[in-house]
Amino acid sequence: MIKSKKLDFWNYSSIVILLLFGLFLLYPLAGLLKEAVYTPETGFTLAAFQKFFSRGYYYSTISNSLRVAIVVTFLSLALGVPFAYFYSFYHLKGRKFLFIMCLLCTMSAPFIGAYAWILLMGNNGLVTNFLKLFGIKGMTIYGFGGIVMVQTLKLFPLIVIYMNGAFRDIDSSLIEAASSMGCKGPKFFFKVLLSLTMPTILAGSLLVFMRSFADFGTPLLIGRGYSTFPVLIYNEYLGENGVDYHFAAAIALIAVAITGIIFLIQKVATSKFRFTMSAMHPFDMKNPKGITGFLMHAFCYIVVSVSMLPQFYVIYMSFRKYNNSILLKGYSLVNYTKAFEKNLLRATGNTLFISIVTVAFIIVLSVFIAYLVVRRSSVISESIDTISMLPYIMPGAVVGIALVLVFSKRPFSIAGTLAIMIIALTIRRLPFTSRATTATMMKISPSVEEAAISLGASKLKSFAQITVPMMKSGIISGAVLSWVSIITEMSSGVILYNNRTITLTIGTYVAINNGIYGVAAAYATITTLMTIICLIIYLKFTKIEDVTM
Amino acid sequence: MKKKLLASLLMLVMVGGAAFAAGQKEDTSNVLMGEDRPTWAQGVDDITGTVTVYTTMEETQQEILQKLWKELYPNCKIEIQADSVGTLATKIRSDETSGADVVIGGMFAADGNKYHDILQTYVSPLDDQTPFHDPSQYYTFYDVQVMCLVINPEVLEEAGVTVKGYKDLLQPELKGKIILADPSASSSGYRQLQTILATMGDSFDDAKGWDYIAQLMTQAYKTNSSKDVYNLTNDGEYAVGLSYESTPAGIISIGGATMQIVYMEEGNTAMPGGAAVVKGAPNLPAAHAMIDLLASTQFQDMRADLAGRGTNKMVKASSLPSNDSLGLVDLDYDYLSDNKDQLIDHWNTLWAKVNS
Repeated sequence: MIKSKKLDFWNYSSIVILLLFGLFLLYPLAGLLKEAVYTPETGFTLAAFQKFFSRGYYYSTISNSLRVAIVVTFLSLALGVPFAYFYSFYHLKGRKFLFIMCLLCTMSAPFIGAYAWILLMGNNGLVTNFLKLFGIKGMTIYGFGGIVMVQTLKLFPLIVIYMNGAFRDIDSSLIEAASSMGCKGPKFFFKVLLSLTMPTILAGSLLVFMRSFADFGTPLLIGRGYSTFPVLIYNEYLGENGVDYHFAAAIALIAVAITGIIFLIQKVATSKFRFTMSAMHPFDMKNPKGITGFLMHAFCYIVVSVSMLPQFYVIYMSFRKYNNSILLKGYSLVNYTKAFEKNLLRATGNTLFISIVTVAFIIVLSVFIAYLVVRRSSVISESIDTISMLPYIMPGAVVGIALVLVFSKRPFSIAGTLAIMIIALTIRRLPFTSRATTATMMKISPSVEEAAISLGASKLKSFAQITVPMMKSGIISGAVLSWVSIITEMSSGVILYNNRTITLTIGTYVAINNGIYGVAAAYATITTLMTIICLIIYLKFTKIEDVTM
Repeated sequence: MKKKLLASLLMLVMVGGAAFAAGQKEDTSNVLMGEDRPTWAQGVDDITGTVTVYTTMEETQQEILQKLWKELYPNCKIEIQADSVGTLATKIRSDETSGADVVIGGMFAADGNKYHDILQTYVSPLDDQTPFHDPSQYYTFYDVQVMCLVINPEVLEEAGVTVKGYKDLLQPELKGKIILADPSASSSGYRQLQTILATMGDSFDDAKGWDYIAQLMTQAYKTNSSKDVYNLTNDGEYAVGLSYESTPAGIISIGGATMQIVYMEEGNTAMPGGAAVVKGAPNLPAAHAMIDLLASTQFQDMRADLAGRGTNKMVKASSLPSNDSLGLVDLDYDYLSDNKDQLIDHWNTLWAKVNS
C-alpha cells in the first residue's frame, strides 16, 4: 500500500485544512484550557474547579440544565414521533404546509420565541389574562416549566424531520411481514417501527439534547431564578459584578466535558443498532378516516399552531405603538423608525455579509473534508474528520469565549471584527455541513472519477468538473440550512459582538436587554422575514421529503 | 430566471439601503451658537469624527444625551453601545479595536479600582462645580443614585396589600410577585443589597440584615437585568420591584406608565455614579468633551426635567423628593470596595440555600 510519491494537490490541501483547524480551533481550545488552570499569580491551579464543585449554586446549574435537557428531549420525542408517524404514513390535508411550518419553527431564532411567550403567557400576558377571565390563575411561563415548554415547541420539529426520513427508509415488505404475522396497532408501532428507526431516534434525541443543554437565550429570558449552565458561563464572563475570566474558562471546560460524555454515550448506544436500510419498495400512504383521522389532523395542527403562535405575535407587536419601553394604545411604524436609528440597516448588512462569507467557507471546507475522508483515507484525513466534529460538543458561548481569549491580543488582534464572527460561525456550523457532505460523497461511486482520469483529465479537473457537480444539490441544500442557522445564531455572537459587528439576532437581543421591546419586535420581524426567504430558496433546491438537518 | 430574480432582489435591497443611508444627512439647523453656546463647550469644528459611547443608560436618557451632543457638536457622530457595565468592561478588555471613547454609567464611588485597568484619568474643568470628587481622578460623577421600590398599583390592589417599605415585602400575599436584580449580575442589584444591609440591620452587614434578606428571597424572583425590574413591574408581571430611582422615575415622567415609585420608609442610601474616559480612546478630544457635557448644568438640567439627581451644585431642582426626605444612611465606600466579593458570595450562597 505504501508508495513513495510526490505530494499532490490533496496532500497540500489536507495540510492547509489541518493548519486552519490548528489555528482557529485547537489553539483557542488550548487557550481556554490554559486560562482555566493557570493564573499569573499562582501558576498551575485547580482552584477554579474546586470553587465550582464546592458551592451549591454553581454545580446545581449542571443538574438544572441536565434536567431541562432530558425532559425536553423526551417531550420532543413524545410530540415529534407521533407527528412524524402521522405525517409519513397518512395523507394529511395540507401536509406540505405542516412541514414548512415545522421547518420555519425550528429555524427561527431561539430566544425570540421565549420573548414572545412572555408577552403571551407572562404574569400579565395575553393568554394569562384570558385564562383569568375563567378563573384560571397561577399559570406562569417562568422557571423550569416555561423553559421546557418553549424549548420543546422549538425543538420537536427536529425529531419530525429526522423521523420522517427514517420512516421513509422502511421497506414496505417489512411492514407487510409484520402485519401478516398479526402485529398491528400500538404493538406494531412500538415493536416494529420504533426498533427499525432506533438509530435515528437516538441521533435526533442527541441533537435535541445538545441544543437544549446549550441554549442560553430561553433560560436567560424566562429562567428567573432557575439558573442553567450556559447562563452561568455567560454571567461569569460578562456579568456586572465579580467578573472572573479564569473561572468562566473553567466552567466552559466543564461544559465541554459534559457534552462530550453525552456524545460518547449516544455513540455507544447507536452502535448497538448498527444496520442500514434503504427502501426498495416504499410503503403506500393511507388516507386518514373517521375519528382517528380527525384526531390526527387535530394533533398536528394544534401542535404546529401553538409552536408558531409566538412568531406571529411578535410580528403583530412590532406594529404596536411604543414609547421606548412603554406600550401605548394603537398602531404605528415607530418601532421600525427607531430600529433604523438603532443600526437596523447595519445589522441587516452585517448579517447578509457574515452569513454569505461563512457559508462560502463552510462549503469549500466541507467539500474538501468530504473528499479527503471518503477518497483519501489517511492519518491526516482521519484527524481532520475527528477535529472537525469537536465543535459539535462545544456550546456557542464556549466557542465565543475561547476565541476571545486567544484572539484579543497581538499578534492576532481580531476580536471585535467581522472576521472573528465569521470564524466562530464557521466553527459552529462546520460539523453539521461536513457530515452531510461526507454522506453525499459516499453515495458517489469513485468509478466515475476514475473514468474521467483515465480519459486524461487531471485529478483536480475530475474533482472540480465531475465530482462536485454530482454533489451539487446536496451541497446547496446543506449550505442553505447552514445559512439559516447562521442568521439565527446568537450564543457565540453575544460574546463577540460590538456595535460595528452587530447582527439581526444580536440586535434583537440587545433591544430586549435594553427594554426597548418594540424595537426588539421590529428586529425580530426582519429576522423572521430573512428566515422565510432562506426557506423559500431552500425549498427551490430541495424536495420537501429530502430535508435533513 | 431564478438566479436573475434573486440577483435583482439582492440589488434592490442594497440600493434601498444605500439610498436610506444617503438620506440620513446631519441636521445642522439647531446647533447652539453664540450666546446660547455654553462657555465650557469646545468649538464646533474642534470636535469631529465619531465618539463611541459605551453606556448603561436607558433609552430615554440616551435620547437626551444624543440631543444635547448634536446641538453642541454636529460634526461629530455619536455611536452608542448600551449594555450592563460588566459586559461593557469585558468587551473593552477583550477587544483592542473596540474604539470605545467613554464609559457612561454603572461605575460608582464604591467600585474602588475595579475598572481602572481600562480607563484613563481625566479631571473636567467643571469639577469645581460639584461636591463629589473621585480621589483617584478616574470618574466624573454626574448622577446621585438613590434606591426605591417600583410598585404596580393594579397588581397590589388585586393582592389586597399596600407597600411602604422593605418589611411590607414579606407579606404572604406578595409571594412570587416581587422581582429583584441579582447582585452578582447587576450594579443596581448590588446597590439594593447595600441599602437593605444599611437599613434593615442594626449595623451594616449584620445577621439581622441578612435574616431579612433570607426571608425576602423566599418571596422574590431574580433577574440579571435591572431593566427587567421596572419594565416587568410596569407591565404587571410583578407587584413590586427593587430598583434604582432615576430611570423608572424618568419613564413615569414622560407619561403612559402604570408603575409608581415608593421610597422605603426604613431609609435609603445615595451613591454618586459617573463616567470615565477609556484608556487609548481613539477620539480623545471628543471623549473629554463628552465628560464635560455630563458634568454640566445643561445636561443635568435636562436630566432633572426627566427625573434625575444631578451632582452639579447649580443644577435646578428636579421633581423628585429632596434628599432630606429619604432618610439617607451613610455607606462606607472602603468597606464596600474591600468586601464586595464576600458580600456577593454571601448572597449567592444564601439564595442557593433558600431556593433549593
